[in-house]
Amino acid sequence: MKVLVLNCGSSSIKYQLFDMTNTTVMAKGLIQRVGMAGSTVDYRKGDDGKKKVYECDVLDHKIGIQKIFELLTSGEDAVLKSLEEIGAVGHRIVHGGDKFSNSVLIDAEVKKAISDCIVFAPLHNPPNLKGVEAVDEILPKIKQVAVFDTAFHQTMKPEAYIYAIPYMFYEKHRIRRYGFHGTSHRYVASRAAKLLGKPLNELKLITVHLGNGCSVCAIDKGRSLDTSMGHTPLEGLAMGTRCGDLDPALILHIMKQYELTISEMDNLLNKHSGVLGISQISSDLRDLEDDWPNKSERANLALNVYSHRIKKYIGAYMAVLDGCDAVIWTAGVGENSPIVRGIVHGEMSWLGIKLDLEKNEVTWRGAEGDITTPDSKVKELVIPTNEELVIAQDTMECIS
Amino acid sequence: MSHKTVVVYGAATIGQELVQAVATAGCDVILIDHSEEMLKKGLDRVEAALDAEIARWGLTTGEKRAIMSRIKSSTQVNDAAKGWLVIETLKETLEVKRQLFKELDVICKPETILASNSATISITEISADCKHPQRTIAMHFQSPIAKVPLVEISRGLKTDEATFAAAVRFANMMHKTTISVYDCPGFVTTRIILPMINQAVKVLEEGIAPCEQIDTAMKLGFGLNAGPLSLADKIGIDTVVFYLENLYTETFDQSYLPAKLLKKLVRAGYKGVKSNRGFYRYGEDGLRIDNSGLKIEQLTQATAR
Repeated sequence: MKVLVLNCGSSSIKYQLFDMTNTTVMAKGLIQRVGMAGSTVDYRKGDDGKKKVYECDVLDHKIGIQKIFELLTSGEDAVLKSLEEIGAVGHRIVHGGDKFSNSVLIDAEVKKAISDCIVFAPLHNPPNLKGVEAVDEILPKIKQVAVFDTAFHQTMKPEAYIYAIPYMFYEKHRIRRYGFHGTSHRYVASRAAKLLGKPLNELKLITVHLGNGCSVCAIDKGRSLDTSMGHTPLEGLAMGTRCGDLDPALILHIMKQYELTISEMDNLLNKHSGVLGISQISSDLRDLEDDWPNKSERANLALNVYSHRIKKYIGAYMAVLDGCDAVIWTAGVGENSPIVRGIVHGEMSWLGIKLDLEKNEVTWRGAEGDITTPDSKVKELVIPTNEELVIAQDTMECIS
Repeated sequence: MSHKTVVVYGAATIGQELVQAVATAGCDVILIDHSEEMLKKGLDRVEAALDAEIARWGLTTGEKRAIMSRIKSSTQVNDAAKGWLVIETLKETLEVKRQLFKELDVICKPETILASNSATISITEISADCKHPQRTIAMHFQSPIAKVPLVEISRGLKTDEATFAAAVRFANMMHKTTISVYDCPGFVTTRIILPMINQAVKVLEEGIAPCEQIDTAMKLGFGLNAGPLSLADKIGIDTVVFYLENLYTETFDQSYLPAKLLKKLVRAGYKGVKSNRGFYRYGEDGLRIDNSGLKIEQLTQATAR
């Protein structure tokens, strides 16, 4: 069975075609600038074939998806004889509200629910839904599955997801913590169980996903107990350009003092903050780590603030979980930054973590493994995430 | 030619703001003006406005680069043929607009939409000399365009449904709410705000209260972003007079007869923010100078001089 995985953003479409009989990637790529001038479509055959970039007008998601189907079935790099070989399409859907705690087969009711959640994720759910509708139009008979970023965290208890504001906002508007990156946290947790050689339901894990967005999750017996992102992906860790946790009074204070509009303040918190805001150098950790610790004081400060916040959450989640078997590092920075992992775990031996400095240095660029010393009570694992694979697997499960 | 390209005709203040807003919304845009100098000044102002946005955290430097890359300029009227939509932002006088529409009607394909940003002139009249008036419409963007989430749309008597629908879609794409009227100069906003500005000037003339107090009272009393006199300075006092005269001719309603002081200020060249002096004085940066409101006791001298 072949499964196509789609991640439709507001101006991009990421895609990957899996052959699920042997879990291999047949083709993958990315369409950029959907709906704008100068769109590009890139395509690579297999997991690491040569990337080919095509320029063409991609006016909307439907045209983009049609283009993907065309590349999969025609030309020298075609991997399918006909579209009928595709057994199902799995979609990454950002927000499922509190209606979905699992991936589901998409029907009219599910589409309505995704649309109802637009208010929670105004930038993400509409293009997600456009992707679903476009596939519906092109291949009306194909089964489609929705895999939600929020679903994994639906196991949180009210004490973890209720904000301390008037309860009416929860009752009337479902304002609460939802959490994101669920697919990634779930994947690395189950992968960790394999590496540790123990069943997932006997483990207390803290997963640290550090990509463009960053979040931490406390996982007990495979269930999310708490996570750092909140009602939106702005809460929690300091990120590339997002502020994360902040004294809410500051928002009022800054808006008043600088007479900012809501959209200006929104931009300040989402695009001008995080390590970019502190360092004024870059939102990319690699730029700050270049020549570390001699780059500049501000670069070091940004890295320290970023790392300190992670450390705080790990400590807090050890308390929430009442223990911890392993901390898992994943996504761009988590997989590739020995510096951040080193700063976070300096002086954490009282909590049972002893980093093996050498292993920490060499475990990156796709490497997987334990980076602690044999006598470390709590293990530290680096595990490359693979959200597309989870979406493909969930899709298989939902249609069978 | 791309179905994404929009043409803005006229590089004065509204033209600059419109180019900025259209490019920010993700469209390619060509700014046309017969004067090379106006174009250069216009584009410089757009860039300065984007820099100001960055300084206020409203935009990132990457976004600014992307926006500027979408903007082209031209002194050739013929380049209007490159857009699917042409929006005119010339001076608020019928003859100028009608002449341009006549030219555009010939240059552009019949399905190209021709929009006027006119606030107070009938779109039916502007398109009187067009062979294809069904594709003409009035779209009134209000300054500051980047901030005001409203576009007023006025259909001419000959405007067809497809043109109206496309104009609404375009405004929505720019995240603006629309209200629509049928061939009504002044739409809703201009029609209602002008008598208020006119009354404020009369209150000033009669010595009832000074500029700052009039503006403060209206701002705080009704939750407005700007008081009427400061608003007149922003719109341009000469433009306010054009608006009032146009609407008086249209309605014969006394409340649109321009207050005497407005005309006197225009004659003196005190046109508001753009000439650094109107009801208030402004620095080169366009920011209002403190306590610079026109003083009632100096009025007779100031205007007699």
